[in-house]
Amino acid sequence: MNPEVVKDFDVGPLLDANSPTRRFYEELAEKLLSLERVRSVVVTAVEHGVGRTSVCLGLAAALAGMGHRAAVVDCNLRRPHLHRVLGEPNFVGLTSGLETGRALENYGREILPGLLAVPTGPVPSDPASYLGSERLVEAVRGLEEGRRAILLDSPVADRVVASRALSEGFDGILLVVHGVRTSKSIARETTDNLLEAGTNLLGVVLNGCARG
Amino acid sequence: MLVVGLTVALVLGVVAVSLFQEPVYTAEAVVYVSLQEDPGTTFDPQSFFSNVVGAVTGGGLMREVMKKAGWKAGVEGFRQRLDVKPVISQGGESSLEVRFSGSSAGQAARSANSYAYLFVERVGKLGQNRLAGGTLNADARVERRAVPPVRKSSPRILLRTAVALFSGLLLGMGGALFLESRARGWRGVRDAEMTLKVPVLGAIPEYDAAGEEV
Repeated sequence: MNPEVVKDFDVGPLLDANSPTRRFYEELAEKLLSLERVRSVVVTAVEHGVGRTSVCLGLAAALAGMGHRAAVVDCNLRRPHLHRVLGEPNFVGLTSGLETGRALENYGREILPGLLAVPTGPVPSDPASYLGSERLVEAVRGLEEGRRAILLDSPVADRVVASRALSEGFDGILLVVHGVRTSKSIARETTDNLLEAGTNLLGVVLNGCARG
Repeated sequence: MLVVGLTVALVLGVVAVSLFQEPVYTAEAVVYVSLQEDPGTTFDPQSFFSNVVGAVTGGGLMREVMKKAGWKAGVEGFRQRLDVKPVISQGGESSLEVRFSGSSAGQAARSANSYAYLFVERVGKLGQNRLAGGTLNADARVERRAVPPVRKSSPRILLRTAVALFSGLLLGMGGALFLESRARGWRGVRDAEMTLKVPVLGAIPEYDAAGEEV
């Protein structure tokens, strides 16, 4: 992480093992680890700005801190964010791997020991064709070797439902709901839509909820 | 809280309005009207009864009734409180139900009886000249005098309170459900699980990030 480039977001508490939020991410990690046959998880949200990338990084860092190798792959091809949060360029990433067919390890960087971060790479003119392709599933599944969890930092839930690869190609979906900003009716509608679409909705993460 | 608050407010409002409302007492008199026909003639009792009532109630009957009942507040107010209903039973018997709603029990009974007796008196005068060319005749008598009612007919505080209680509960619950569905902010994991019907795997508290959450 290059601290000079991070200007609008403090990623420190998410990656720092001594952060006050770490234990909450560890509890989440333990619950995720307890789920059988769940390795690649699509992390989506009801709406933008509720903390998908934060949850992905915090959870992956907790997993890595617990000794489980993990990876975060930014699938937000319309609004790439992971590289910004990490203060890194976005010259190569997921789309590079999809185009060349090479393993995604080649296009990411270990930001912590055991934690690989793969940004989107150059944004394509037709993101839907990338997100709907079987190559996406194969490329991400390729990261599972030697890793306990792959977290896909994905678009909002309605786009996940629209993408067959994201909704059906992985082991489950984790829905991020903001504890203050997300309205209950919209959250309920989203969970209903995900379940009606036949996705394996593993559960919800209540992010940014009040302390205490 | 909302349910209780709304219910209490509605009940108190209704009770307050009812207490300040003028009490209303309703008294009823019944006049029996006998319609007679000469043998060999055919007539329609309903239209004949209507004709009798129409003939009797015109010609300043209302003013006479008001005078007899001691009413001084104007003819329009008297009309509004008077309810006269002609009734023809299935057996062909005709009667007139006279109801009056007054601010006192005595006034209500006095007014209803004044109307009933003046109606009978006028039918009697009408009967002296045989109707419809002499083939039809009508007679009337007060079958039941109005008596001063013991209870007021309005406002019915108990009934209104019950309705307000029920409405308050219904409105309160509806409002609470509506607000709950629009609410932002969750009371915790249990609240989220109850609302979303899916397990909550984690609850991450907000931290002092310098910028936006992504």
